[in-house]
Amino acid sequence: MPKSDRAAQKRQDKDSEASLWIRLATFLAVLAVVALCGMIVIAALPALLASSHTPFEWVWQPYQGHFGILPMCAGSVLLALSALALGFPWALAIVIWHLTEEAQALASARKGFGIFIRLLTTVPTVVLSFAAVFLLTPLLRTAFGGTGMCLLGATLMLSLLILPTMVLVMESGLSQRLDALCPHALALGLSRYQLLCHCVLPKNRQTLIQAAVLGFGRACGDTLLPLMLAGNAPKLPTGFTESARTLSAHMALVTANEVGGAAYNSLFAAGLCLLCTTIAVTLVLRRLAPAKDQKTHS
Amino acid sequence: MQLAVLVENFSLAFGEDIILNDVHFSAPSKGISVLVGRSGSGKTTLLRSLNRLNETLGQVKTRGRVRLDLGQGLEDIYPQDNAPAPRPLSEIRRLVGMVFQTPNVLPLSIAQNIALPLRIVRKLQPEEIKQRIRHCLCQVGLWEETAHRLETSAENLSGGQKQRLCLARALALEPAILLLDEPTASLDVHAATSIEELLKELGERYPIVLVSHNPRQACRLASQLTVMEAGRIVNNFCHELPDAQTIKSLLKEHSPSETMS
Amino acid sequence: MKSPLPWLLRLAPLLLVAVCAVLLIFLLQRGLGTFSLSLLFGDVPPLQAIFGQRPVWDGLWPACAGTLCLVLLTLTLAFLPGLGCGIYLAEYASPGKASFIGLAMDILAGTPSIVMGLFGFTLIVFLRQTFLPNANTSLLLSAGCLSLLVLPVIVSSSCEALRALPRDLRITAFALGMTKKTVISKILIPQASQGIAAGLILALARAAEDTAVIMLTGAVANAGLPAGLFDKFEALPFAIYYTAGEYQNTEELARGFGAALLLLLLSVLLVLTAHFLERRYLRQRQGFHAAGRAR
Repeated sequence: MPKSDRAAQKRQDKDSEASLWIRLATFLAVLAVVALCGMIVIAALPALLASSHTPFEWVWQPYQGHFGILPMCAGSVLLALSALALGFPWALAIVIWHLTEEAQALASARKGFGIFIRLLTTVPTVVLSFAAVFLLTPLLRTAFGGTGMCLLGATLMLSLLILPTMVLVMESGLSQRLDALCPHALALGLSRYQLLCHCVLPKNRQTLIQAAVLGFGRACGDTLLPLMLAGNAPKLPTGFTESARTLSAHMALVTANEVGGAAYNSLFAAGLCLLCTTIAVTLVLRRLAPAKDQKTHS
Repeated sequence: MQLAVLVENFSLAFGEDIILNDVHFSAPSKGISVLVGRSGSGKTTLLRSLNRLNETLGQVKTRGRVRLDLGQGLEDIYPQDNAPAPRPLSEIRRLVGMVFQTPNVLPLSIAQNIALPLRIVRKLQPEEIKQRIRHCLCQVGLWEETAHRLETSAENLSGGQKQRLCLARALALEPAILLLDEPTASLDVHAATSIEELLKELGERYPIVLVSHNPRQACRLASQLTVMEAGRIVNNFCHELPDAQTIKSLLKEHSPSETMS
Repeated sequence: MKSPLPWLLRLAPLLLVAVCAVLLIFLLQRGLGTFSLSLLFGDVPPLQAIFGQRPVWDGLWPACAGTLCLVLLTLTLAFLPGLGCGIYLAEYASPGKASFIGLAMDILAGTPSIVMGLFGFTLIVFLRQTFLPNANTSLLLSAGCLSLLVLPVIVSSSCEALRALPRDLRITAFALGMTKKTVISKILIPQASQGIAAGLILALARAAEDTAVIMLTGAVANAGLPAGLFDKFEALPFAIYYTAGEYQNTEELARGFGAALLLLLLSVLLVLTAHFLERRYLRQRQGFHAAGRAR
């Protein structure tokens, strides 16, 4: 290729190339994610490799030299799972109601309910926790004794927090497919409800799994609700009326009361655990999403 | 006869789909050259090859030469080995005006539709832009109807008015060649007739390549007629043009059921 | 024909509405009474408080001002990277790159805010041990971490807004001889601005309500008006959290309810605005699209 040619080619390439600030912005955005993950892994390394004061034990007694975060891991998982156990069927029931005859007949109520769900996703968790501290906790205290700060309270509120997200995911996944099947099925004499329960739901387990995984991720990551409602005792809870501490709440507490070096180490280990969980959740969701797309095309 | 467009051995593929296969085509520097063919025959793609617009639609591979007279005699618009590089894409596209099947007004005011490309592409001064807006709108017979509402949204115009605005917008950039892709297909009969009148007039001054799916329209407008089928040119009439009935039968004759060689 | 729905299904939405209504009524009942100028400014005259001539000890004004500064600073930091990345994703990225950037943004969007806060905290610990022994958690650090939190929102909304534009618009602009850069900056971005604005407002709402990030990166209970980028600050969500645990008397508690109600109203208002903008934008685009497609 002659020289002038190459120069012109270069000019044309430049025309269709992103300008510098756009490339810089993209680089910065990706760099931020890499830095976030990298920084937390590096900070957690000393804790992972340490022979003494390992964070992977079941006792948290900083003044006796025990910095175990396993009770918090268990607390996080337990709380997220129980919130899911309560929230998932609830969300599913709401979606089924929303998509079938009764709600379809009340068009305006249905629309209003949709907006209501959307608004629920935006309620600040700190406001939700604040209201629960002064409304739910006293109720639990009179019902079960103790302080009222327990796993049960946090579970109830957490299920309320993840509910709207799950409803939205399920609804967006199911409604189109239900509507697409409807003319044929209704002609066969099936009701929307029968169609949904016998055909659409079993064929779209993936959407349900997606909603559950997303709900689990949200429940694991939330800080304020467990911090303000679960009581924060650093031990393995043995019942729903006992106090528990989650990883997220643990991180908030340790940074608030600077205890010292080894406590910080456990903090970073806790952060890494949480980050790994949510990255796993993200990857699972991405695996599920393309499969869903293929289905709609076929 | 002086040529404005000369396409030789030109092939084009989107990924693996071959759309144009070894096409030879030329258009004179005056008059309307009409391309007809069934849908999917590649006529729109051939038209878009003349301003390299296919490249904005996806991964495109091309082979062969396309030469246009953009004011300095025929010149290549695709890069060729052992030849100086073609003009930049944006310059080619400015010098080749194009009007689409559906009137694509930009969602701006009537005046801005013409002014924006002039300002951005030609970098003209506001004074001159104003003059050109008036001149071009007069040229397409839209000035009387729109002079009092140049600042209102172009989307409120009727279909025929929009299409004339698109023509005016192309003319404002002072093109060397005009490409028209079924410009009357989305218009009613009345609007279509007035656009055809306009095109006949413009054909006196510009080389025009027009894609049409309507044999009667092709007859009315053409000074040269080319029939395409399955990515190839199958018939070319330069002097004695066939009548509408013949064109219709030609389009039928080369139906896809016929085996391709 | 109505099919007999199990009553459980009917109960589920009713229960949700009931629970939310109870919570809302509780908040309104305890918080609405406190809504007055003195909720914000205590007994200091409002103008003097706003301009910081006299400190406000028993009002929410410092927290509101802190949140305002924090949110504005966050958007300043996140806007250009977010928009640029969105443009790249929508207009330039090859499928492979787009999927990689998408993955990065998904991970960022899924990361809990407390981990973002921990990132900021780690950064400060690191800086203290190395270059800047005096570094401390501050307004700038909080805004930086919050901008990580809202970045995916801005990226995806600007990317979606650009992708929603009709293809005809692009082709027309290219056919007029514009280069890709001018097509994007002069045609596409102005057309997509409403969609991008909706994303920005959504980002605003997220930045205003998040508590976990600022808890780890410099929010405190008594800092007064924000003094500078490198100082500690007060913020509305943190004030709510703090009140719940540490209130001394009924007056402070009442102020906590006022603050909670205020934050709730603020985020609902912001999100409704964003929702409305987005709906209008999509409707307009689809309208244009449909008109362009009609043959």
